[in-house]
Amino acid sequence: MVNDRDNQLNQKDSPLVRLRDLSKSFGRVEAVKSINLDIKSRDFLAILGPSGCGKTTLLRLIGGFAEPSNGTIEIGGNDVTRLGPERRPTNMVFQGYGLFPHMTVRENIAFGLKIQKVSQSEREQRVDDVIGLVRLEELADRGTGELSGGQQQRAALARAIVMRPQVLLLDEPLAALDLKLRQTMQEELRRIHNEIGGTFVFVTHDQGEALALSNRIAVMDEGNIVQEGGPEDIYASPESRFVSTFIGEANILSGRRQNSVVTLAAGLDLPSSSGPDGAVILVIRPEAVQILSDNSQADVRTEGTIVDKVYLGAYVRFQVQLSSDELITANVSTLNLPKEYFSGDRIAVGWGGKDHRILMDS
Amino acid sequence: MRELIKSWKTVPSLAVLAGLFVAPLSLLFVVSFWSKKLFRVVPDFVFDGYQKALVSYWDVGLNTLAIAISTGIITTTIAFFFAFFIRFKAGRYGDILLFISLVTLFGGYLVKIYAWKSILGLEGILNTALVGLGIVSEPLGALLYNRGSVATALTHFLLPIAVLPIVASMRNIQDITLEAGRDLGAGPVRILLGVVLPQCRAGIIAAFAFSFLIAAGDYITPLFLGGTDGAMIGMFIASQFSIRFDWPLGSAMAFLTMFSCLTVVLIARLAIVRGRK
Repeated sequence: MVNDRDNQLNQKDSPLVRLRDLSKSFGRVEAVKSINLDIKSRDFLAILGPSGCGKTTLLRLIGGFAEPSNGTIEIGGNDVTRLGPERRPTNMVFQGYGLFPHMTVRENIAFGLKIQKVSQSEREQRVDDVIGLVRLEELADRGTGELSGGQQQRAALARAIVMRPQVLLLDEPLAALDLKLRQTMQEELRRIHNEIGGTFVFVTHDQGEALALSNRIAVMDEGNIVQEGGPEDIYASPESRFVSTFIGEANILSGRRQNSVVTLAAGLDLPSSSGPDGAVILVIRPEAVQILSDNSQADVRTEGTIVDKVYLGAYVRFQVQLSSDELITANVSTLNLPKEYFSGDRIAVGWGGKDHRILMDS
Repeated sequence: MRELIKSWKTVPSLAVLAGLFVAPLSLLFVVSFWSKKLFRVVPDFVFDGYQKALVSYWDVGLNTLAIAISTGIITTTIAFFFAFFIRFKAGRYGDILLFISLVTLFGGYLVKIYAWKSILGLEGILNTALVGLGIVSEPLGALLYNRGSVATALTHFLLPIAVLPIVASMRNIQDITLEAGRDLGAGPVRILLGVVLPQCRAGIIAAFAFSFLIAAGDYITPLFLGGTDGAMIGMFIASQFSIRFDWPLGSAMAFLTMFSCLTVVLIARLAIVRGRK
């Protein structure tokens, strides 16, 4: 067991987990391609990506369940690249929970502490503490087969947390739960992270879950981390078409840049855009698009025809067809609607110059 | 009324059960209390058979249990590791391995007995090798005609039969429970005994019961490989019916053997079920 708490305290600012040029191939398939990533202590990091992007493989590499084809993994300053999961300061909450069916909830949670030969009194104390933390007091002496999905999830979480891992790994922790339970468990996870203050790394394909839970997000696509940062950064400043459409909704308008002027296919020019010449895309979030009354001003302004309008309570969702035949979606707060509009109306739409992003079209 | 119609559907299976198991056993049970007058068996209610069986054959009985229990334990243990390999380590070759091990059952049972005879015999492969390597100066006679040679041949024959139920119960074990065990710090031994074994108890009990019961009832292997040391009760029961025409004694011996074997299986089951920690 690598346990280097002092060492870790001395290097407060250096990352707790350091991945360098980490890659993993299965036969000819390269699931993870040369990833570099730092995870700081107390981070709640989401590894977010579509299925098959390599995110679970990355998590399994960190946990020691797969051996990297290349690269190194450091945790708390120690190289753990060649260590098995039983010798790493990490614990995993598995997607299918992996509870031992021949044991009660309490026995499941105590399993790891028994192996560590923690004294009985301390063991009982710690087990009771985490059972309280995940609120399973009533069910602690039941068999795991008698638990519902959400309760099994809590038991699996408790079994990992009781080990006080330096890094807690969660593989799609909420994927198997229904929507209501998922929301409850999201709150629970946030609360538990606040209470014990550990470092959590979780894998998800659900961008809403990633935004709601984490303080950092690493977006993966085809084995690479394509963008990493805080949730606000990722949402507000996506660096690629993939990230902009995968996280949240985005309108993508195509255009060209020449001599620092971007000309959109929809027929308007946006001056002073530095960057290389070539095909570009403009990314604008639906909630940033406004419907403009005739005399109002906006940094970017164009016209189109309403092809669809859906009333969604807090806002109205318009689909507007521009002169380029591209559709742009505008989610307009019902409070900001200048007047009533109908499908087929010609209208002006616009947004602030700071709200869109111009990216090279790759 | 509906209950009655429902229960009618079980009549065929009950008839099979009654015809093939209950009737012969009941007949034997009744005969075990009859008495033998010269070369005739006459209906009676005496305990001569049981008395004779206990007095004259208790040592063969114990020998039988010793051989069968050790065969059962060795077979089940090897089968457990073999099944573990098939289920968790061999990947897609697991099914092929399982198939091959089952195919050996078709090789026949006498063939295996003769094979072991030629391996363990005075001029057998093992002795030739030992002498050739200079490990012993002359062939060992002690390799054949004892409990060990009987148990060895029986284990060889019974292994596939014991592997099957253990593999079947291991198929229900989720792989991630093994990963979870490692994640929580368990080494290979702990995983095997603390995570895998408790999850396939039913298969282990079945494997032990199969291999033990078949071994205890066998009367061919000890005949060929057992000599005097490795004699088993089945041989003597068979001879009561075939040569000596002492059906009451044979039946009594059969019932005593059956009763002891059931006791052993029940104790083993209790030990395996209770053996959780």
